[in-house]
Amino acid sequence: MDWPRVVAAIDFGTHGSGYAWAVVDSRNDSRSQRDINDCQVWPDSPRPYPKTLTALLLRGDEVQEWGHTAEARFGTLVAQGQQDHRFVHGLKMSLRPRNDPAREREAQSDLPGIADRLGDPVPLISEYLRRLHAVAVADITKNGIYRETDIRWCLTVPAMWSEKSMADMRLAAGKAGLPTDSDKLLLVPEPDAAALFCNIAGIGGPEGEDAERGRLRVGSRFVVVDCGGGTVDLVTYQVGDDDTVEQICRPTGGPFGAEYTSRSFVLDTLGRCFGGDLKLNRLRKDHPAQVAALVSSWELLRNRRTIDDTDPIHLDLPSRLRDALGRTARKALAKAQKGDDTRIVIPALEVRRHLDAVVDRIIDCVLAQLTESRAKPGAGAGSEIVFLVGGFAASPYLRQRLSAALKGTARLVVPQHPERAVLFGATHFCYAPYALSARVARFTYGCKIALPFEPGDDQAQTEEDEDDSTRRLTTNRFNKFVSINDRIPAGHEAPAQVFVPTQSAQDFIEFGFFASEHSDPRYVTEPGVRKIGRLRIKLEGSMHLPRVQREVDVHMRFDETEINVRAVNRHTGLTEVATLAFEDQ
Amino acid sequence: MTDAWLKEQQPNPSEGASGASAPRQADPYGQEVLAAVLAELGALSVRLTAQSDTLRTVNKLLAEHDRTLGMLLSAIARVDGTMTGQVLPGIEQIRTSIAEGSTAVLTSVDRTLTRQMASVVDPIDALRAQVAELRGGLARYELDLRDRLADMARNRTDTTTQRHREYGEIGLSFDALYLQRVRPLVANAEPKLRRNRAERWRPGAELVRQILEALFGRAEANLEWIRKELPRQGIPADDSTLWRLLKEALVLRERASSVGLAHEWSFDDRWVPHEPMNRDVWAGCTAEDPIAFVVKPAFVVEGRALTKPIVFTSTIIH
Repeated sequence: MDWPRVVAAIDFGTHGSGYAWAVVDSRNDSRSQRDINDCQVWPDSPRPYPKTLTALLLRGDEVQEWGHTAEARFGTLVAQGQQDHRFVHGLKMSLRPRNDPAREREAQSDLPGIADRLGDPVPLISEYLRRLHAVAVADITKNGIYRETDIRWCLTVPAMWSEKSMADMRLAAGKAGLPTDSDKLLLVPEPDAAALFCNIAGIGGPEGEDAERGRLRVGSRFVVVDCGGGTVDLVTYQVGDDDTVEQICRPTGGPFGAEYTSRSFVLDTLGRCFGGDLKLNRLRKDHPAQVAALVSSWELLRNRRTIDDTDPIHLDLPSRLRDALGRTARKALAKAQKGDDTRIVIPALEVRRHLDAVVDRIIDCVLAQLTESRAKPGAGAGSEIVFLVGGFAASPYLRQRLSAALKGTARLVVPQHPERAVLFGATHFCYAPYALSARVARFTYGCKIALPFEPGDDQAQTEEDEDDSTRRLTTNRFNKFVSINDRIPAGHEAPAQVFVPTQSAQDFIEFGFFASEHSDPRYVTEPGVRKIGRLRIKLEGSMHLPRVQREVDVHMRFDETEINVRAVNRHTGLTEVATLAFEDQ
Repeated sequence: MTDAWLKEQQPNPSEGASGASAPRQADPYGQEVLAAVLAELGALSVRLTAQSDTLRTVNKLLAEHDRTLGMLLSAIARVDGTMTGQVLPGIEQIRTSIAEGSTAVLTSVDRTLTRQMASVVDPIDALRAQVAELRGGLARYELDLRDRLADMARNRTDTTTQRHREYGEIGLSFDALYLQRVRPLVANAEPKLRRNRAERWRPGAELVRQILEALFGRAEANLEWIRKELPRQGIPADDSTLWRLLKEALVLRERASSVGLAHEWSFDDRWVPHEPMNRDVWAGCTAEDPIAFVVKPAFVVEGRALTKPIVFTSTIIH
């Protein structure tokens, strides 16, 4: 497939997942005019939305249903008293390895992760993707106009993920029936996809006008704030030549997505209305589908709430839940709500409290990101644009509060269909993968080497130099290839570095590669440094040379979502390659 | 992809992309060039086979000649010591003769090969040019094919386009309007509406149905009914929630009309999920009971329900 005839993207989210696609033709070559199709009506979904639930219904290891149907069916089975099924959601959270630094940060947060209990999530993610992929293929190839082989795919991955998680995602995608070739299946970090979407959407008005209406000028900086279900991700970008975008700051954010307002609604509001935690937990266990319906209605009205609303929010109490409440709880509910026990009435102050728990943190994060962005060379204070995207970007309350917080310092823009920013951005990326020109190194990357002992190395690992007994070597030094926050152009290869064996008898060199959250780590054993891979190369063919002439070049290349290393024996040309990934301990 | 497949895909020869395209070139995709290249390759293959046979024969002769020469030189070496004085001039003559003979043979072979190479190189260059032309033709063919396929795909009516997404937004707004405006409005009047215990929920559901039918169930919103009927049901005409409801309902209707696809707020119970557990039923009703009427309509666009209906169920038949 030299030329794809269709490009398709899958946004695999914590809470929901969806797909979008575009035909490749001369009309769609113009990105601002590009027609993108998606899916907004899913089986058993209560309302139109571009994503279905990222959830599976399992019986043993066998997948019975997926998406909203899994939730609905699970509710039916529970009501029928069947106990042999398992409802699994939040699959994506489990994909981060235990020692992923990003995961550690989230673990320190006072808000717990959503679902993080799966051992090896790859098989289940693969099963989920298989079904989503099949629906997308059926949609695209309906009527026989296109065939599956005409499609190039793109899969979104979180910016905070480690390389290991991305490798796992590619593995799961391959098992799900998606192509395994890297030119037929692209991976794109979610904020990068959202940034492309924002750059294409522009600011939608006369301000900042360039050649076209609302287009961002070359050199413009913008912060993408992606408020998804589970997490909020922020990254600053700059518009480059040829309409490409490049990262200016490292992604930041955390687990305070819109889902947490729903958790707060369930725990506080429903807990109060249902007569306490015990009752609430029983109802959630016995009537999961009805509680989910209530939450869905809450989310619908939450996303329409403005800062000036003083009315309470009214939700219909599903009959089954009302019946299950019992007479005492119903009476208490009626008493608290002017005799009405058929609805849940949430006072305006309580609504505001649920929203503020998340909105306050988003605002703090945006302001911090702007401060970081302004510290970078080339910034003009007050000239930034903040794009608000993701499902929660629909909330007028969030928009108004963020706009007020940014007043006079940055301009807030919410593009049309912000809930589709990542999905459509990934589709644009799939259409023209060159649109991202650079990103920022998330860690300091390097390899372990031995260097002559220096004062201060007393606590380090040292050994005697076998070739020169008068010398001691420090064997756990961190040799840097790229520093954290360095600008990395797409497809960039760090300058090759030359290494020689430490001992004359060595007939191979084994390189250990490491990542650090610090800019200048000295030892690979110090805190914050993680092993991300290894590579072994034979020295056959150069053993006749003096030790210091047995040279090996090591190259480190940064692709879209992967870091690849290559070692070359200078004298024989023998080459070994490896893809780096965080290793589970 | 075969021509037959393409033809099957043309939805209507008079309306399809082929009917609307610019005048076709004599050979827009290089199919004739391809046929010519294939024929030329066939002829070239025959010629190369013949030349290969000739070269094989020449090689064989040269090999035999080489072997004979080797034997002669070996013999010369053996007798060299004893017969130097007598035989040397003869040997020199033989050597000269062999050298001349070899040169003649090699020159002849070289000329033959040069001639034969010339006859092959020119057609190969011509073929290279034709292949380049063919590649260009294939690129044009692919671009043209992509445009035609895309035209056909854009004619599909079952995809979710920008206009469908607009309706998705309208569907969400409709659900929000139901929850946040219609329900509170009727809830306030509900205590006055309640009848006997068995049917206590029916009047509220009926009123919601009537309001939604007046606002969304017809080609034009029936504001006259709203103005006259609601005060009789205990909802004052100056109720602020009512005014907000009317304003938002009219905006929604206008938005839906302006997008331009076939749509309706349908009270037909065919949009109600078959599985009782998946139904949205009026508060107080039992999902498994027979459906009495649709309270909140489904929002249907081009035959697809974007939002689910809410139904009133009852075992009591009126």
